[in-house]
Amino acid sequence: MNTPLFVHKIAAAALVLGAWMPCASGAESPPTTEQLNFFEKKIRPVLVEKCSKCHGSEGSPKAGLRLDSRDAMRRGGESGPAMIPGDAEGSLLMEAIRYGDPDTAMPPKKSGGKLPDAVIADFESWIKMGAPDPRDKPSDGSPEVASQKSWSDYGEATKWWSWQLPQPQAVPDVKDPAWTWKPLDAFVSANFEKQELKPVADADAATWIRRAYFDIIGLPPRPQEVIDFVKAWQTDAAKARSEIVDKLLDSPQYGERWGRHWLDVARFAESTGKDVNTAFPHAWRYRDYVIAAFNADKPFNTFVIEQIAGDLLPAKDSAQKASQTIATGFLAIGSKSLNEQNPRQFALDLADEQIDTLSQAFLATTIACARCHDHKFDPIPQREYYALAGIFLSTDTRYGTANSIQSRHGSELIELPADAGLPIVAKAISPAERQTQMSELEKLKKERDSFIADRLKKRNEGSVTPQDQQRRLFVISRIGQLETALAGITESGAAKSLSMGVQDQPADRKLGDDVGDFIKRRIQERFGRPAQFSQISNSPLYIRGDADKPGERVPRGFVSVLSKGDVPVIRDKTSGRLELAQWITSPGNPLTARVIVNRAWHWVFGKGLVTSVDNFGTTGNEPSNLALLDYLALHFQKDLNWSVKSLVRELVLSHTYGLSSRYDPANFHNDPENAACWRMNPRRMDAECIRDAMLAVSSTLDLRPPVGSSVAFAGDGPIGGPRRRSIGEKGFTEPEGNFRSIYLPTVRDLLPTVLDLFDAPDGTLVTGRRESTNTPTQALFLMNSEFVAEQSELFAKKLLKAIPPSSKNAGWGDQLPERVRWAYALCFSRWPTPDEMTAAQAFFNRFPSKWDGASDQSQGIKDPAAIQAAYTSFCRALFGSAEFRQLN
Amino acid sequence: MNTCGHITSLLTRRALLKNLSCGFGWLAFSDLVARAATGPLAPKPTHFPAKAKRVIFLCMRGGPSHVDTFDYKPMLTADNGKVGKRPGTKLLGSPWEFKQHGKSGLWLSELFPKLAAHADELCLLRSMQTNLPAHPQAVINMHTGSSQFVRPSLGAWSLYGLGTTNENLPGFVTITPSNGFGGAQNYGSSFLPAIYQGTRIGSDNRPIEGAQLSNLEPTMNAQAQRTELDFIQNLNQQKLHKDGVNPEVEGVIQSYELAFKMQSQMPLVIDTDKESDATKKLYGIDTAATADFGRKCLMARRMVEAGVRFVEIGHGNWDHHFNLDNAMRTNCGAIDQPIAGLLTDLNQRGLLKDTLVIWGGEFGRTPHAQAGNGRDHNNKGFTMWMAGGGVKGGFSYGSTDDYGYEAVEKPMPIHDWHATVLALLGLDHEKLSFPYAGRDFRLTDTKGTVAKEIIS
Repeated sequence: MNTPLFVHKIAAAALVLGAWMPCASGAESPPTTEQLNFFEKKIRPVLVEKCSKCHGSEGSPKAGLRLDSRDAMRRGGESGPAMIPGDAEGSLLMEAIRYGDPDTAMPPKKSGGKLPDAVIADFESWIKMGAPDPRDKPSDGSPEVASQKSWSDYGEATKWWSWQLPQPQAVPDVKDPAWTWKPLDAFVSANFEKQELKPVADADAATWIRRAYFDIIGLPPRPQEVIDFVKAWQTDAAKARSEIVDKLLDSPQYGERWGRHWLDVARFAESTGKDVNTAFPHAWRYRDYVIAAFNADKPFNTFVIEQIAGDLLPAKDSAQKASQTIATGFLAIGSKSLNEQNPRQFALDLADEQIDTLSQAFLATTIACARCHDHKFDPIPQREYYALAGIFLSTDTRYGTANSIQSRHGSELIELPADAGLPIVAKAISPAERQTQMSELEKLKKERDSFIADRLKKRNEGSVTPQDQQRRLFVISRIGQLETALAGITESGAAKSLSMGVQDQPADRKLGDDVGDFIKRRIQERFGRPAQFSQISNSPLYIRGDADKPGERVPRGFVSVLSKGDVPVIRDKTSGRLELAQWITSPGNPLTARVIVNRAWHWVFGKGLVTSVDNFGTTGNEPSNLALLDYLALHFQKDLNWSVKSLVRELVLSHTYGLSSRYDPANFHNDPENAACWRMNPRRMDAECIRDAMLAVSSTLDLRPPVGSSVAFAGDGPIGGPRRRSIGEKGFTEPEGNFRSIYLPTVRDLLPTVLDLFDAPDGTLVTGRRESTNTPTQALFLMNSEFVAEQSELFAKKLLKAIPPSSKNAGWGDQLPERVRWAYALCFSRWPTPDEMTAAQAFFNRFPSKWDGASDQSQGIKDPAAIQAAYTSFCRALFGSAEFRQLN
Repeated sequence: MNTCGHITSLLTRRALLKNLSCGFGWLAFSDLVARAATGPLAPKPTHFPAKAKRVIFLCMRGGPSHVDTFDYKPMLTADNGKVGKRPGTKLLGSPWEFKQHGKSGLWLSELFPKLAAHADELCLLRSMQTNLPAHPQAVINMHTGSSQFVRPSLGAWSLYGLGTTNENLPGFVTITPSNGFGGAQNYGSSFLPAIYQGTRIGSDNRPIEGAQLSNLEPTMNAQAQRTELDFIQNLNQQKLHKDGVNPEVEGVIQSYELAFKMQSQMPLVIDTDKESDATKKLYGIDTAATADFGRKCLMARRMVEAGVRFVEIGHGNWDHHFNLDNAMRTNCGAIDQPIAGLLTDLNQRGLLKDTLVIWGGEFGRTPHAQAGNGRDHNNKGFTMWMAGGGVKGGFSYGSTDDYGYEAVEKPMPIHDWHATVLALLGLDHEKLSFPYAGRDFRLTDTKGTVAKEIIS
C-alpha cells in the first residue's frame, strides 16, 4: 500500500502553515522524560544500528533521506517526509519497515532484512506519541539556505518598475499634432520636446517599402512593386503604405518571418545539443505550428496558453487537437544532456530548462536563477521556483531520442490523431519487416535480462570479458534503436503521426505497476524517469539546488511578485500547467503583454524600448519610454485583442517607423543610442534575410514550404562526432535546398554556415535580441563560398536572360547600362546613381584585364562564358556590398 | 563633424574624393590603406614604453575556484567543516595540497603540477574583485568594464590603442568563445570601429580541431578578385558618402580588406599540423585529455608570433556548484600541460618577455561548501594570474582574508585590472579614449588604478 499523494498533501499543508506562522513548529510541547527514555531505549539504537550507515550524514544519503537528526527525519527525502508525528499510518517510515512496498522495503536484506515485529510496533507507538526526539532542538523551520541576495526587504524589492501593472496612459498633447500618424507617435514626440531632439526627415517611398518588406516578410520587394508603390505614394502616401502593409501581413511569408522571430525566443532547434547531440526528428512540427499561428494571427494569449498547456485544452476536432498538442513542443525542444548519469538530476534539469525558457520567453524574467537560492537580484524566493518546478515535474515531457549506451533518457513521443490530416515523413515498413524487428527485439531483450541477472554474480566472480562488454553495449543500443523504430509504426507497418510535446503525469501511479522485479528495476534505474517524478506531485525544495538534498515540499504555484490579480487555483489531479498559462496571460500579470509588445518593437525598430528584451528584472535595462510601453501593452490587450498582426500594423504605419535613418549630429550628441527614436535605426539584416534575399534576387527561391526537415529525413540518432556515425554533419552545415531559411535544418552546434556567420542563434538560449557582428569571416564567405558563387552565377544568368543581347553578334558592352539598372533594382530596390553606373562600367572595363585592349564596347569580347564570368563577379559584388545586407 | 569613427573618416573621405574626382582612375582602396599611416590597424605609438606587445588571455569561464588553485588558505583547511561566514554554511578546506614552488616559493595547489614548474614566472593577483556574482554580468564586466551597457571589449581597446604589426591578420582573435554569458559582446567593438572586433574561431561546445576558418581559399585569380573587391569597396564608399556617418559600412569596408589579405596569411597561421611532434607533445596535443586546449594554446602562439595583438582562448565550464572534486581535477588536468607548454614555448622563442599571458575567470568561489562537494559564486575575492610581458614573476599581489572570502589587502577591481593590462601594453588608460555620445569614453570609465607594484 502506498499513499504518497495523501502524505504529500499533509506535508504541504503543514508547510503552508509553517511558512505563515514561523513559530508553529516551536509550538510542539517538549517531550516528557518518559517519552525520551522510550526514544533512547527503543528507537535510537535501531536508527543507529540499522539506518545510519545509508541515511546518515556521511556522503550523500540514500534517496536524499537522513534519519540521524530530528529535523532531517521530519523533512524527509525524495519521497517526502519520512515520518509525520502522530500519524503512523501516513508515515512512509512505517510503510518501509513493514515491508509494505518491495521497492522501499527497509532495512534491506544485506542489513539483516525486516525488523522484528516488536521493534516495528515500537516505532508505531513512538510516532503515535508524536515522535519525541531530543537529538536536536526544534528549529525555526527555515530551510538551510545560504543566500547572497542583494535584496533583504522583499517589499522594497518588489518596487522595481516591471513588477508593477502597466498604468493606463493618456495620449500626450503634443505641439505638432500633424506629426502623429498613430497614437504611439505622440508618446515618441512628447519625448523629443523634453530632450531637445528634432526628428529627422521621413524616409522616401523606395526606402520605406524595402524596409517594410524585410521587416514584415523578410524578403526584398520586386522592382515592379517598388515602381508601383512609388507612384501610389505620390498620390496618397498613407493609403499606399496601409495597402502594402495589409498585403504583406496577409502573405504567407509573414508567418515565416515572424515565426522565425518567435523560434529565436523559443530556442528552437532540432537536436538535443550538449554531450550526445541527438536528433529531434519531429521538432519541425512545432516550427510549422509557429508559422501557421502567426499567419492565422492567433491571439498572442491563446498562442501562449497553447504552448504551455495546449494538451489540456478542449478541441473541436482532430486537427485542433493535433495543433494544440504540437504547440506544447515548446516545452520539449530544449537542449538536453542525454548522458546525465543521475536520472533525478536529469528530471530536475529538464524542469529547470522549461522554467528558464518559459520565464524568459513570456515574462523576460530569470526565474531559474532561484533554483539554488533565492534570486540574488529579483524578489523571487527559491520556494517559488520550486512551486513552479512542481508543475513541470508533474509533467511528462516527450521528446523522443533513442536510448543507447551514451543516451540514457529517451522518452516516448505523442501520437497525433490519424485523421488530423498532417503529413508524415517517416518511412513505413512492411508487416513482415515489422515482425522481424519485433522478434529481434524480443531476443535482444532476453539477452539483456540475462546479463543483468548475471551482473551481480559476474561482478563477484571477477571482471566481465571485453567481448561480453562489447556485446552488451551493442545489445543495449540496438534495443534502443528498435524500440524507437517500432514505437513509430502501427501494426500494419505504417508510420504513425508523431509529435514532441507534453502531457500530464498520471494523478496516482501505483509504483509497483512500473517497477516489478529486480531486472525491471535495473532497466528503470538506467533509462527511466525516477518514480517520484512519474506522477502529479509537489516538488521538494532542493537545498542549494542539490538533487540529493530534497527539503520540504512546496505546493505548486506561481511567482508572487508577478501576481497582481486573482491567482488561478490549480485543480486537483492536474499538473497546474493550464493554470500557469492562465496566470501568465491574465491581466494581473504585469509582464506578459509588455514583454511581447517590446519584442515586437525590437523586431520592427531594431532596438526595444527595453533594450534587454529577455530581462526586465533589476539586472536588465529600464524602458526608454515607460508611458509608451504601458500604452502599447494595454492597447494590445484591450483594443487589439492580442493580435500581433494588428500590433505590427500599428508600429509599421507609425510616423516613428516612417523616419529616415539619416545621421544627425545634434540629435546624435544628445541621444547617441537613439533611445528616443529620432531616426530609424540603420540595421544589418538577419542571417535569414540575407540568404533569402540572395535566393530571391537570383530567382531560385522556392516559396513552397517543404514538408518536414532534413533532420526528419535523417531520422533518429546522434549527430556528428567520430563515433557518432548515424548522421553526417555536412548535410546540416551546408544544407541543400532553395526554400526559405526558416526551413533549413537547425541542429544545435551545427547551424548552416551561412546563418551561423551572420549571427543566427543556435537554439541553446532564449534569444530575443540577436548579435550583429561585422567580421572578415563574413567577407570571406561572400567572396569565396560556394553558396554565394552559385547564387551569383544564377543571378547573372537571369540578368542576361532578362535583358538579352540586342544582336546576335553583340559583345560584353551591349545592354550594359540596362542590365546594371535592373540588377540595382533587384538588389537594392532603386536605380543606380550616375556615379554608380560609371563605377559599374569601369568594373567591366577592368574585368578581366585582357579586355583592356577591347576598343569597342558594343563589340568587344564575345565569348559567352567570359561574359557570364564578368557578370557573375559583378553580381557577387552586389551581394557582397554593405547595402545588400543593410536596412536604412 | 562626426564624432564617431574619426580615424577612418579622414581616410575614407580622401579615398572618396579620389574615387569621385578621378572617375575611371579610382585606385584600389586597399592600396590606400596599405600606404596610409592612418589606417585603423597600422601600428600606433604607445603612451609610454610598453612592457608587453601582445596578449594571450586564457579565459576560464564559469568562475574557477581560487582557494583550490592559487590562493593558499591554511586556515580554511584547518577549519574544514566549521561554520562558514554565511549562516548555515560549512567551510570546505581544499581537498588539494598546496606546496611552495620555485625560488620564489609561491604556494600552488597540486592541481597544477606542470604549471608549478613555472612558479617563478607567475604573478598571482590574489585580490581580484568584480561587481556581481552572476555569470553573464561578471563575464561581460571582465571583458568590457561594464555589465550594464554594451561597451568595447579589452581586446578591441588594445587593438584600437596599438594597431597591429601584421595587417594581413585580424588584430584580435577569440578562440572558442562562449555563446552565452554575453556572447559576441565579450569580443565586440561597440562604438569603436568594427575592425577592432574580435574574429571568432570555433565555438565553446565544439573542439577546435576542424573548427577553423572556412572560405579562406580564393575561388578566382587574385587580379580578378581584386577587381571585384575594388568594385565592392567603391559601392560601399558611395553608400558611406550618401549616409554621411555609418560605422557599420566602414566596418564592412575594413572587413573586406582584412579578409582579402587573410586569404594568404591565415591558413599558414592556424595550421598547427606542421609543428614538430616535440612541440605538439609540449602542448599536450598527444594526449586526449589535453589535446583540445593544447591545440588552442599552440594556435595562439602561432598567432601572436605572426603579429596578432590580442588572442583570447575560452575554456570552461568552471562553474562547480557540485562535484568540485572530480570536475576540478578534470578541468585543471586539461589545461595544466598546455599552459605550461605555452609558457615554455614562448620563452624558448624569446616571446615571453613581451607577451602578456593572463589566466582567470569572471569570479572565484566560496570557501564554504555548496551541496557538500561544490562551491558557490564569490565575486568579492578571487585570483587571476599573469606571466611574461613585464610582470614580476614569482610574485603575489594582494590577498584575501584567512578563508578566501574577500579581498582585504590591495583589492583589485576589474577597472584596476584593465588599467594595469593597458599599462603593461604601454597605454595610459586615462588617455586611451574614444569620442562617443559627446564625451570621451574609456575602458576604465572614470576609475582604474594601475597596480605598479606588479610591473617589473
